[in-house]
This record gives sequence, C-alpha cells and structure tokens, in this order.
Amino acid sequence: MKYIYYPGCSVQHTGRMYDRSFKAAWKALGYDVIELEDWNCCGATAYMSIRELTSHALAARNLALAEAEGADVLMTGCPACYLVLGKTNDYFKQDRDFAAKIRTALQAADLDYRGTVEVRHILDVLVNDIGLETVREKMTRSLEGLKVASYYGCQLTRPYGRFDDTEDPVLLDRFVEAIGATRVPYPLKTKCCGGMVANTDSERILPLLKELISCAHDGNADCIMVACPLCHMNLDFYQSDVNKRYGTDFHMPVVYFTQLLGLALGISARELEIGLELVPADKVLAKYA
Amino acid sequence: MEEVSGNGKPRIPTFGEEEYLRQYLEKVRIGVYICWCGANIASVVDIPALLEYARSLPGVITAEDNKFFCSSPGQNQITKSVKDNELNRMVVVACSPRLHEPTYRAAAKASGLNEYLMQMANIREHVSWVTVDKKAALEKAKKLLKAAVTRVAFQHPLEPKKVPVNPNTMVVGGGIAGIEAALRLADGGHKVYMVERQSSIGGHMADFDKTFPTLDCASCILTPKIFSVGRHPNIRLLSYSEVEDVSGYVGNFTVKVRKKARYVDVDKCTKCKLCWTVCPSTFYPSHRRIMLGDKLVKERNLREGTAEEGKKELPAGAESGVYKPPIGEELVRLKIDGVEVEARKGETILQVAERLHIGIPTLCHYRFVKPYGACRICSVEVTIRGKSRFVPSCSYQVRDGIEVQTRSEAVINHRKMLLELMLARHSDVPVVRKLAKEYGVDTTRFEEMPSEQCILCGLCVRVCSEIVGANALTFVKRGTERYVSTPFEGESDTCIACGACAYVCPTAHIRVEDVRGRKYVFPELPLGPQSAIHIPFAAAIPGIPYIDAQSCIHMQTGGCGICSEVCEPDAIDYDMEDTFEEIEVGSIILATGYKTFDPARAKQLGYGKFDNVITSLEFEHMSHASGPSGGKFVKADGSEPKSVAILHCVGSRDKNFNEYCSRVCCMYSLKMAHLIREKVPDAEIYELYIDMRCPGSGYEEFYNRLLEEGVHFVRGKGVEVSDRPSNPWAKPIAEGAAGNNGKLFVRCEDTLLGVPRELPVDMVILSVGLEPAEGAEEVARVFKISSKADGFFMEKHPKLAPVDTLSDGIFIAGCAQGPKDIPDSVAQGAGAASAAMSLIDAGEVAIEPITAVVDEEVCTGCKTCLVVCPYGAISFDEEKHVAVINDALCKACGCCVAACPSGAITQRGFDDTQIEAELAALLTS
Repeated sequence: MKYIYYPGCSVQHTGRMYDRSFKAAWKALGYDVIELEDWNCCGATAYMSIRELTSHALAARNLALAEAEGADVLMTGCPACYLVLGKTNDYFKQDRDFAAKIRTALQAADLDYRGTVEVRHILDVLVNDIGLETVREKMTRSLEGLKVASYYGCQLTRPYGRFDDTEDPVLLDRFVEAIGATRVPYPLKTKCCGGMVANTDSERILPLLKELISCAHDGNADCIMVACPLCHMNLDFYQSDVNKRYGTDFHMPVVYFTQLLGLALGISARELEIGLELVPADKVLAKYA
Repeated sequence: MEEVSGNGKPRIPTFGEEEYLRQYLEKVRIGVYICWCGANIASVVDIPALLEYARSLPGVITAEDNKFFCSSPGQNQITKSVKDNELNRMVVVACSPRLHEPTYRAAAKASGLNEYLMQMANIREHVSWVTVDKKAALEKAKKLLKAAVTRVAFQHPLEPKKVPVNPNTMVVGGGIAGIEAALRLADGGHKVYMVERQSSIGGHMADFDKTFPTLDCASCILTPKIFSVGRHPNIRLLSYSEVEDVSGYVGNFTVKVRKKARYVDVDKCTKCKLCWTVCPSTFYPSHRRIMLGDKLVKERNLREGTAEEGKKELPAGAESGVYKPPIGEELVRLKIDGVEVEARKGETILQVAERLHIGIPTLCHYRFVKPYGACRICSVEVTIRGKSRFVPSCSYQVRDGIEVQTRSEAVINHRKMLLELMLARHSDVPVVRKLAKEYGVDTTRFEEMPSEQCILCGLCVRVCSEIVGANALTFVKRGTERYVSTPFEGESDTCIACGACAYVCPTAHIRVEDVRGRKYVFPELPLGPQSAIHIPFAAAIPGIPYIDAQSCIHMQTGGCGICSEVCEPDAIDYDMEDTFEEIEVGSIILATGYKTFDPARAKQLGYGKFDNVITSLEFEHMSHASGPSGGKFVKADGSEPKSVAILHCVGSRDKNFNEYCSRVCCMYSLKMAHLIREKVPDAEIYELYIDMRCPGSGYEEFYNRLLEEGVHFVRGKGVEVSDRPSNPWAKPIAEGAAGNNGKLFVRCEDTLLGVPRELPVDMVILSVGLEPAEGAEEVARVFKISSKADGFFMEKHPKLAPVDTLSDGIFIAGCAQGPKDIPDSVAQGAGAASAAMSLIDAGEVAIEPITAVVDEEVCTGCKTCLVVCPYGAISFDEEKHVAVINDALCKACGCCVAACPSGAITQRGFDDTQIEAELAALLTS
C-alpha cells in the first residue's frame, strides 16, 4: 500500500504549521512522507462554479500523477482538497463520458488516469490505517488535563461521510481521548466557519465565528482543535475582529490535530510551529511542550 | 382432433410432421373477437383493418368487433358466434388477461368451449395505451393477433382440479388487524388459530393512550376485543409462539408452530399476580448499570447476547436458594400483647405478629433471606418466667409460655432511641425520617454526622449471597467504619446485574440505572409489572405471565426460585422447553404489523444524546395512565416542559431512510399536540411538518380543531436538534433564544416565511415512521409470499386485491402490507376474514390446471427439478424413481421445465409447440 501526500495550497502559506506538524508527526510514527511531485491546484476555488469540467481536469492531473508514481492512496490534510479530489475521482469511476473527457484533457499533458487511486484524509489514515492503538504505544507524553474542543467543520465528513458519521462525526474526539486529553462537548462541531467568504466580506463571517468561539469558551475548552486550514485561518485571524465587534475578550487558541499529535509523540513545540498562530497557543500547551 | 397419444395425453402436433399438421389445422375453426374498449383501443388501433387482417389468417372462420365485449351483449355475441360458426377455438383481442381473462373464459364455457381453448391478445396496455402512432399500433396489434391465433390452434382442453378446503383459518399476529380478522371468522362459526409472537395480544394499539381523531382511549376500545378473543370458543390462542414452517397449498396448509417456553404452565396458572410482586429481579431497563452510591457495580445489556451467554458459573461454595424457616409441626402457646395465640415451633415472633396483623417496623428484614437482626428496629419485649428482655422479633423463635409486648412503653422508647441514633447518621434517608416521624422523633440528641444513604442493613449482601448466589457485594471493615462494597472495590465479575440488591435496598442506596440516565421515558418501558416474571400490560390476554430468561436470576445462576416458592398451584416450571405443534388450516391471514423507525439512525436529531428528545411511541407510554410517569407529561428530570416541538416525517419521506409516507404520523402528531395541550395547558407547541396529510373520516376537522387550539404549525422539516443555537441569522420564534439554559434548539427552514429558524424548546418529540416488522423477511420466506421494495408484504393487486397475495389461500392485513391507521387496519382485517370465508364457504377450490407435468417414461430421476422448484411442489417417488409434481402447489413458473435435462417436464398451456408457434408468428411477418 503506497501513500502519497498531497499538500494543497493552503498549507504552503497560511496553514504552514499543519503541513510541518503533519510531516513531523508522521515521521515520529515511523512513516515516510512522500509528497506528490509537481502537484497543482486541486480546483477547489471559485473556478469550480465557473468552468466545472476544467477544474475537474485540474484535479485529475494530480490523480494521474499519483497513479504514475504508483500510489494506492493520495492523502491530504485539507478537507477542501479531499473533497474536490475525491469528487473528481468518484465522477471518473462512475461516469464513462466524464472519464473519457478527462482522459482526453490529460492526454494534452501526456498523462493518463485509470482510476486506481483512492483519495483519503490524513485523519482517516491516522485512525483507520495507522490506528489510535499505535499512537498510544508511541506516545511519550500524555496531554492529560488539556481540554480540547474538536471542530470538524463542514467538509471533512460532508457530503461523503466515508470514514465518519456525516451528521455526528466522532473521530477527532476519539483522537483527543487517545492522546490523553479531555474532550469538551462541542455541539457546533460541524457548523460553518464562513469559509472563503472571509476573502471577500470578512465582516459577514464574524457572527458565525462568535458562535463557534463562544461555544468552545462556554465549554471551558483550552483550545479549539481543527483538521482544516481554512477553519484555522478564520477562527484564528478573525478572533480579534470578533472581540472588537462584540466587545468580547476571547483568547481561544486554535491548533491543528497534527500539532497535538506531535506533542504527544514528544516533538518540540518549535518543530511543530506552535506559536505561529495569532492567538498564542503556547501558554496552554506549555505544560506539554 | 382430440387425438390421444400412447401415454394418455392429447398428442401435440409438432412442426416436423407436415402432413399431420396440415390435417390437424384443417380441423381448427377459430373465431377472433376484437374489442374497441370504448375509445381506449379504437381511437388508436384501426379496427376495420385489423378485422380484415384477422379474416385473412388461416384457421380463422370469423372475426367480429364490439365496443365492449366484456359487456353482457358482447358476451352474448360471442356465444352466438361460436355456436353459429361451429367454432372450436377463440381469440379475444382486447385488454390484459389479468383483467378480463376470467370473463372470456366464462364466455368460452357458456359457448360450449373448454375455457383453455380461449386465448387473449392484449392490444390495450401493450398497444393503444403506450403509443399515439396509429401505423405502428396497427402493426403491433396485427402481430399480437397473429401470435394468439397461431398459438390457440395448438392449445388443448384442460380441466381445473378441485380440492376440498379445510374450514379452519390461522391468523398470524395478534394486533388489531389480526384480532378483527379472527373475531369476524370466529363469529361466523369458523375455527381460528391465532399465533402471536409476544406473550399477549393487542399489538401496538395496546401501547397507545388515545386514538385520533375521536380521542377514544385506545385501551377502552381494544380491551373488549382482546377479551372476546380470549374467551371465544372458536378461537385458539397460541401466544408466545412463532410459525416455524408452512407446507401444503390453498385449502390444505400444514403449519408448524413453535410454542416458546414461557416457564409458566398456562393451564395451572391462576393469574394471582403473587409471582411478580415478589420477584426481586427487574427486566427494565435492559441496558443497565447497578450503582452502589456513586460506585459502579456492574454494567450489562441484557438484550445483547443470548440468555445462555449471560449465565454465570457460580463461585464454589456460593449458597443460593430461598430461605425456608425451620418451622415444625409442634404447637406452642404464647401471649402477644395480652392475647393468647398458638404458633408452630420454629416460627419467629415477627411471623406470628404478621399473621395477627400486628404492625412491627422492620428495616433489615426480607422474608426470603435468613433473619439477621441488624437494625433492631423490630425489637419487642419478651417475658419468660417473669424476666423480661428486648429481642429482635425477626429472628427470635417463639417458645411455649412466653409473653410478648410489641407496643409497650418500653418497646416504643427502645425504638425511639434507635431512631434517634439513626437520625444522627442517616438524617436524609426517607425511610428513616418516615419511621422517626411515626414515632414522634423530630430531633436527635446525638452528635449529627454527615448523612449516609446506606444504613448497613445488609439486605443487599445477603440477597446477593443467599438468593442470587453471586456474592458480588460484601461488608468491608468493622464497627463504625463498616461499609458495603464490591470485592476489591472494582466492577464486579460475578454480578449478573439482576437488580435484586436494588429491589431489597430500603434506602435506594443501590439503584438500577438506565445507562442513558433516563428516568421517565424508555422505549421498552412496560405498562405492566417490571419484574423478570411479568405480563406486558395490565389488561393483557392471556393474563398469564412469562419469565424473561435474560433477567431471571434463576435462569442466570440457578439461585432464587422465589416465584416458584410462592406459587400455590405450582405453575412455574424453569425446565420448560420450546414445544412444537402442527396445525392444519385451509387459509392463513398474516397480520404481523410493523415496527417504528429507530431515530438513532438520524444522528442529527439527537435521539439518545439528549434526554428530552423522545419518540412518539415513548410519548404514548408516558401519556398512558399506567405508564412510568402515571400519565404526566414530564421531562427527564421530572419537571413539566413549557415548550415542545413535534418533528414530523422522521425516517419517512426521506431518501436516506424510507421514501414512502408513513401515513399515520401527521394525525398522531396532531393527537399528541392535543394531549400535551390537555396535560400542560400553557405549553408552547410547535408542529414542524412538510405537508399536513389528513385524509380520513373526521381527520381534516381534527386538524382544524388543533389550529384553533393555538398550536404553532411551522412548515419546514426539523433537520437538527442541538443544545446550542448556532445560526446567528435564524429567526427565533420565542424570546430567550440567546441563553441555552437546558433548552434544545430545533433547526428548520420555515418554507412559508422563507427563513431559517431555531426554535428553543424544552422537549422534542420525534414522529417516527413505520417500517416492516422485525423479521418480516423471514415471515415472507416461511409463508412463500413476496415483499415489496420497501419490505412490506406485496398484495396481489394494489387496488383490486389488497388483501390477497400471489400465494393462494394466504391473505395479508394491517400494517404488514404497508403503513396504515387503525380504521384501515380493521377494515383490512375484516376484508381478509371475508376472503378466507369465501374460500371456506366454497368448500372446494379449483386449482389452475396450467401446471408443470412429468412424463414418467422420459424422467431419468436426476432430481434436478427438486432443487430448482421455489415452491416445494416437486417430490420424488422412490419406487418409480421419477419426479412427482403436486398440481396444487405448482405455480407454473416453469423453472423445472427449463431445468429438466431430459425434457421430461412440460408445462400445460405452455408446451414447446405452443410457445414455438407463438414466437414464429411474432417474429415472422
């Protein structure tokens, strides 16, 4: 079984710590991370709604590259990439006409795709392939006492729900328990963070963010744990705006699940790039670093 | 023409035999009758052209038309034509044979022809209704006509076989539909066997509180029917039984019934109820935990795994069984409170006092365990030869000549002192406070300590050791430090979670808890007693209890046996085993009902996550006067909800679950709203619906009534239930949406206002849809009937034969066929009964002669056909070494015909010559 990693654009810049912490944690678990050579945009931008087929072809190029490299699984940490790559892959396998068009498009780049690659999220791979038991065995410190609100966001399990329940996902919570931390009830765990609306009208998403942050705050969470660079950006970057607009005083750090995984595996906070976030997480995590 | 071949059946001319064929066909005289079907056929198919074509075909003597051949003038025309033209075959070119084949068979018979020498060509469903192209229509009609004409030439007369009908009927399922069917038949003087899977009849209707739209109390209208079934001389009730196997055919079924062991002898039981009042084991809730204070003793799901798996090997030396006081025959005389009485030697003072109705308070006493004398509250003054002293009456055996004072001042003072001591340590324990109040003890002179629940009576420890035999509880330490715990303070290995300790605990220090922590509502919560030996609800018929093997202590450990000990008629038999009975009946009515949708499958609705999200069936239990809350409508914490949302279409009209409409939910949701309005007059009630579907007698009027009663109707499906609001733009209906103080938030899109909403409510009721009953697939398999795509049983025709199935003699009624309300279920029950009755009254039934037949001379005895027959119609004659087909069981599917490697099996009415002739005519122009 060969796993190839597709980083996606977000984790190159705003979500850099997701990428770094993932790679460090995977290494500590004993796995090499093979990054897809010459990858391109997954197509998860507004492009999808303007020229759908072209954006699918963009996504398919990544799948073709992965197939050529002999990958069984193309894994990614970004739920948007996961969704778009997965969608293209699904259409490709289900719709012959679509597949024919995509293959024609790929030919222009001397590529071909046969549909043998599976698109997975790294959380899925961690829990279902590597296993939380392995995580428990390799852990060097328990994150006991850390109260974590697990925020799944919208795209991780919807619409597919391949590796977790569509409406009531639980894997992040199971992960929290595995690393010894405490999960706090987080009823808004699948609600919208505002997504890309932030880019065009950041004022618009503040009410949503206020609900999400106050929910974690009311649950006495030390931090919000995410598995999506966009969720991270919105919750982290715009928290001060929420405070300004609503007169609140939230200091709710937002961390990636891979960062907590890294901490549990004994990796230093510096290597996991804890501290790069705008609402500092190092204070609540100092105990474990 | 009626040439007979050597083996006694009409010889079939084949296409190789040209000369024979020519002679054969010369004798064939066919009449073709083309029906207009009003404008149905004539408006598309050119009838004159078709008539002309028909006349041109070889063998056709006459071709005629009529606007309606199915009418009586039309049939007369056929009869006259057949006779005048001396015809020996006829073809009716009209509609589907499914509709009118019986009509034209009758016409053939009236004309003096054998019914099976008539063939139909369907040019309505297959031609005129499916095209507007007149040219193509004529072409296809011609082909179909030609095929029928060519085929009919090779058909030969067949005679239906008549078989007698057994006048007895079996009704499977004792819900309202089955009850109605059984009573109709029984009242008509016919013997009925009613088989019910549960221990008593009544079905789901017995669970309901009120029924829509008349608001009759369900029990009030159901119990008279239940009683009628119970005492009807023509009905034999086989409760707690299931059908294992069915063989035979219409009019002559043999049904094998498994009578499950109920561990109570139905004939001996006098329904005295003593067994379930003394049973220390509980069967509710099934997924439970035994709690000792804050400590978990055991968590167990009784419904997981079999009763056998739940059984425990008892630790060596564990005693168990019912304590029997060593009472002898010898009599002694004593005085109690000045009254001289006789008692048997070995009896305790308490036993004698109880017999004389002298009240002595007890705390640590339980008649089925050894006397212990721990609490001393039962102390009495005993005077022997002038010397008096205090003894515990529970353990002191009477002696000749003693004088006992149970209410003397000294005794009262003694008890007061004990109560003062208890108050000092157990001031919050209700039973202690109550007793203290009775004795006028308000305060204690002793130093008050923090109140402890456990009064160290030791009942739990003794019951667990003496009755259950599990030894899961024990005393730890001594003196003032003594307390009850599990061995090594952990979760107990030996505990079987029977709940006997909780049953005897006088202070509720030990409790059986539902793991979901629900106090008042639970889907399986019974309306009857909750002990392991029980009846399902108060008016159950038969009112004979059964023992739930998973929760019975005796079944799990071999201990206890209290019910058997107290049962005077000796009706309890723990060794009872399932028995089987074969019953012969002529017809079978399946009324196996439904189950409700499990809303835990729709996780977004929070069922199982939030205590105050309940199903409609749980509401019915709660609303029921004999339900867990005594008919009060309460939240899980026992308080009254001030706002309630009722979510329609849970599991119904939903592509993720069931696409069909469950038909009853709109109406029962209205009924629930009305009942909530009655119970909590100032509650805000929201009905979240997609469409209101209220067709039925008085239904729309009921809806209007509810509109008047101030219920909020919100058109929009409730999509999510959460304990926190999330949508900052949602339109709250009521104030107070901001704080979530115990509120639930129901999200929906109000499609009339076009806005998303979040309704803050105290309680959510999920109006769950109806699904095929548990095991419906297995029932369909056993009875060899078909199911529809949604899993409900398939009727023979959705409109014209709704209670018949494709298996003759087997009828369906009620929700087994599809979701329906009580009036419809009753109507179908009565309909199925009348269908069975017409079969009985006919006395015999004609078996369709179109069946497969074995040519014994050709059959090689390979038995291939036995394997492929889906109806079990083929047996093997070992003596002749040939296959034998039972005409009555054969459904003419043709599987064996196709499978027979030696060509020994043919199908009457569908032999090779006929099919080849038909195909040749169809495929050649």
